[in-house]
Amino acid sequence: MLKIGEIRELIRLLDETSIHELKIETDTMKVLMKKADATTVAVPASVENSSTRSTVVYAEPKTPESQPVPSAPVPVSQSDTKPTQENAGEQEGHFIRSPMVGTFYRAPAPESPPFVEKGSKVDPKTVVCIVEAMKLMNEIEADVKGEIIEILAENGQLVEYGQPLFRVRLV
Amino acid sequence: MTWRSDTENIRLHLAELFIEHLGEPLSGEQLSREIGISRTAIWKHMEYLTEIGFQFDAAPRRGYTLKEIPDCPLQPVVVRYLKNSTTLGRQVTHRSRVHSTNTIASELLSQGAPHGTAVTADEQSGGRGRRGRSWISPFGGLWMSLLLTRPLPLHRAGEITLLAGVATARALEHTFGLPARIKWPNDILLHQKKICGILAEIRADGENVHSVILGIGMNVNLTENDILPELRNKASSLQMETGQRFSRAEVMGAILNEFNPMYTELVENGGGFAKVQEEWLSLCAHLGDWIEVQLGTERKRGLCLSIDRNGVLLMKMDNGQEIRVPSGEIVASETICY
Repeated sequence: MLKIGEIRELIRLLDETSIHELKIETDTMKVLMKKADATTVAVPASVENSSTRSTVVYAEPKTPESQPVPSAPVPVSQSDTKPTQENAGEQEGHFIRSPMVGTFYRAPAPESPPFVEKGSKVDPKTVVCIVEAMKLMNEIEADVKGEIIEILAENGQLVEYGQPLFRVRLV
Repeated sequence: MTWRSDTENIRLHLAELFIEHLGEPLSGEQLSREIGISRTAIWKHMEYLTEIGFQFDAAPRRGYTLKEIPDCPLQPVVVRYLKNSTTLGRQVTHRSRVHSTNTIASELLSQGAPHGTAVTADEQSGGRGRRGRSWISPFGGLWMSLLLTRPLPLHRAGEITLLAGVATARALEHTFGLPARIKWPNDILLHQKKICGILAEIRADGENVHSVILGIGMNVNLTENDILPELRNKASSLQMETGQRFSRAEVMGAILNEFNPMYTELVENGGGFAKVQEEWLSLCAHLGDWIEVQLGTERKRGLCLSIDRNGVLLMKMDNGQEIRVPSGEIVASETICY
């Protein structure tokens, strides 16, 4: 069950996106949120990146109708090299994803060796990278036991919420 | 309290006694009785207090008198500057020289130090800035880390560093009358030069942040020689800009007094940065300026329009397109030299 605070938070988050409608369904509950004014909604470029949670989230961007759409701010990271997310589904392994929007760092300092390399063995507590936003450094742990088989983001790159950062072969 | 050594507890007790009896002589015998250790041990600890800035007058047979409150951010000194309503920073661990106060705070956390504990140091040998840049932290600066362990959702955690920026600027303005400004997201500038940096490290379990170590480093009484020649056009200190010395403990108390209610609002009522967004904008050093931002691996130039309630920077590009910068660094602007 979602708590009231969490629902409030969802509404706030939804407000800040260009997503028009959000539906969450689990075994025990259903939540549907819709924005009142659908005509000013632009098609978000990043919707595909956000559908990665365990709960079922439908994001249905409404195509803008006849009236002109105000130019909504576009997340800049979209111009970055696209991660190999599109074909991610077919690939084997577990993905370590970014829990937040931020800058991806593979090492604690520029002159230090990266936390992990391709082939590194990790356990759930192994720090694999740092994602930084607003001068907040979040050390990301692997959360699983396995071997890093692919590094999917570049050092210093801006990463999106839910973006795959590493592919891990589970052991 | 196992996270604190007996030696530290004795030193704090001794410092408290002297501060309580400011200007009054205390004899070695009195102190020995009060604290429950030998007179020789008392002298040893008084030597430590002298090293960190306590000045004693010695009078034969009468004892030792503390002449004035030192500027050192030692717990009994810091708490003198805290408002009654301020709960953060009631426990302060002070070290003379450390690698980084954030590292000590992290160790103390695992040893059971409570929420609100602060770590201060006279000097840091490995102070850190963003991207692992070193932050020069000689004697005279305020080098502190604050341990915050109230649960917080991850997507709200970025507000802590923004709030800390506003709190610090506000403290300098309200308590000391200094026109501090903010460079996005939370560098503090005085007369367009950086005097303070803020950086936090968090531990999160998926979406739940269970601890934040908030590091604040301020060039309080640094002199020109303390600043690398190549940084002198962009970095400074309170003392260099005003010609006055400041008490590090008082600056720390002032920051905590401003930050405390903002943090409470964030973790208890979900208010957070949205409540001080207007104030942030009024303190912003580059609003309406042409700025250049390092964004991941590329640089973008544009007009700084605003920030949203999550602290995301809004910029207007030459082609009229508006972009959102959720993470990055301003590397150039019209009014600030970098």
